[in-house]
Amino acid sequence: MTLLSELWLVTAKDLRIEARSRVTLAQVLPFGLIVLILFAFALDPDRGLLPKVAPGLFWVAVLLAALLAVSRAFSIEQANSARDGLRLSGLDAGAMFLGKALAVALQLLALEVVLGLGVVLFYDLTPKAAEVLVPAAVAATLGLAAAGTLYGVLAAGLRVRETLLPLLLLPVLAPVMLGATRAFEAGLGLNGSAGEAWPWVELLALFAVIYTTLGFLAFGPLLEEA
Amino acid sequence: MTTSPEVTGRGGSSQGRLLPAPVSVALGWASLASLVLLALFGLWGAPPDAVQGDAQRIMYVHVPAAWLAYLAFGVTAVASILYLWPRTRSTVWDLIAGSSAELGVLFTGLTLVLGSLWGRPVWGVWWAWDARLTTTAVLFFLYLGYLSLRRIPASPETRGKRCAIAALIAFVDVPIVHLSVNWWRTLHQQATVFNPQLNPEIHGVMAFTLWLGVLAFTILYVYLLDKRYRLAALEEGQEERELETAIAERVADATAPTPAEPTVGATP
Amino acid sequence: MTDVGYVVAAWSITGAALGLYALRVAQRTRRARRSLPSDDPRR
Repeated sequence: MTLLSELWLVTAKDLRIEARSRVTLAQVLPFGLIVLILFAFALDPDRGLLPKVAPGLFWVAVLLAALLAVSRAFSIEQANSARDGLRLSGLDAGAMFLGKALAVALQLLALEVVLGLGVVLFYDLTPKAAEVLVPAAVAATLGLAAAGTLYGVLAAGLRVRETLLPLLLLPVLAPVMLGATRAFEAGLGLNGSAGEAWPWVELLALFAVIYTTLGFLAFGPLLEEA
Repeated sequence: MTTSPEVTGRGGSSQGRLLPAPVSVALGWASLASLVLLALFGLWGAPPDAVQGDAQRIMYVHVPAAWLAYLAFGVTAVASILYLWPRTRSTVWDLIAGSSAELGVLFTGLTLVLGSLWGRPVWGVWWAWDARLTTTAVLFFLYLGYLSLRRIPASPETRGKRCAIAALIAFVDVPIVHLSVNWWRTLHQQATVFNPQLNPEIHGVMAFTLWLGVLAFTILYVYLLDKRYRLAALEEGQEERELETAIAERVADATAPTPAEPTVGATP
Repeated sequence: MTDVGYVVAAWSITGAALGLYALRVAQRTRRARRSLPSDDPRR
């Protein structure tokens, strides 16, 4: 099988599991929305602060939701020794990594659309400059998914996984948080003009490339030990 | 549970230490002496700074601490690569990586605290979101996570591999973090309210004291690395034996004779 | 707090942190050594 078809096999598997169990839809998505609501409680909506800080709040909510999504991506492999099944399947480890990361990325992108709507609704923000926001979001999400899947397999099977994964993953994602927020701020005209978003999009793309490569290389060795 | 020399590193680093005992003792005294000398110069010998006053003396420990943090994490990265590379794989590198990372976290924490104590009198604030401080804070948490990973209950091989990969991923992240934070804090002018400029024209006694600080801390680092490595090797041996004992007990339980029967080769 | 206070605090914390760390490592090493059989070369 080609790399691409093996990749797609894994992605389709993960998405099918999600379609049947609907955990991301029923648990992770509401979690993200609740986080957005909590921010409104924390920051007093009457002071006109929310629209100004909306990009940052949006990306924090996405980041927290990503932690859950990544954790879920590996807990589905827990039952019935599915991880052993992956190891013995003969699929290329790199393809498996890309497949899992892609599945996480697609789910996150869907999440971001809904959370974005939430931000527009709850924080009274007018969306614009989609030609900047969409590439920024895609690049950021690919980076999130790649790093998340890499750390997900690193922490897979450990008893302390639930507390260790966030501790490991969040510091690494600092550049994504930075770049995505700054790109959105620029695009929405909150801090500079839309044109200024592009250096940040490049940074996000760089991060995505680096972590996709690292994950591609490390997934095999890590899966062996999991 | 393998106890072959390659895995336990007994062949690689004899008697579970990096430095011969006399060298270690000498380094211990050398670091003590150089630190005392540093204190003499830093607190008394060097003059107060024209702009920062006496607060500048904090730099004589803050700057060395920062350099050592980066050195320690560099050592962790190199040791991790050597551990992952099949031809050089040895527990020695794994233990060095872990020991150096612990020292790195210590020095990073120290850097942050000392930086704060310097910032308060000089900038008027305990913290500023400039590139260096922010990156250092993220660095601290990156390797704190690594230290947590080192404590997972797993075989040395599994743990070693995961930790080595985690160390390398973290190491790669540092320049990206620094780059992104740097852009963040310099793209818009309002970020330059706090412009932490260490006087680049540092002369004479002050320059000497700074270098003395770096030297003293480096000697201390090597000394502590060896000590921490020894501890790690001992604790690894302890773990091995505890596991062997536990296995032996379980086997003994499983093959324990019932009252009426003689033992049938029940050796663990 | 005068400037001198900050300087003293900084250097004291440095000495304390490094000293306490060294002591802790020494203490744990002693404890680990005791639990080793007397013929172990790593002692």
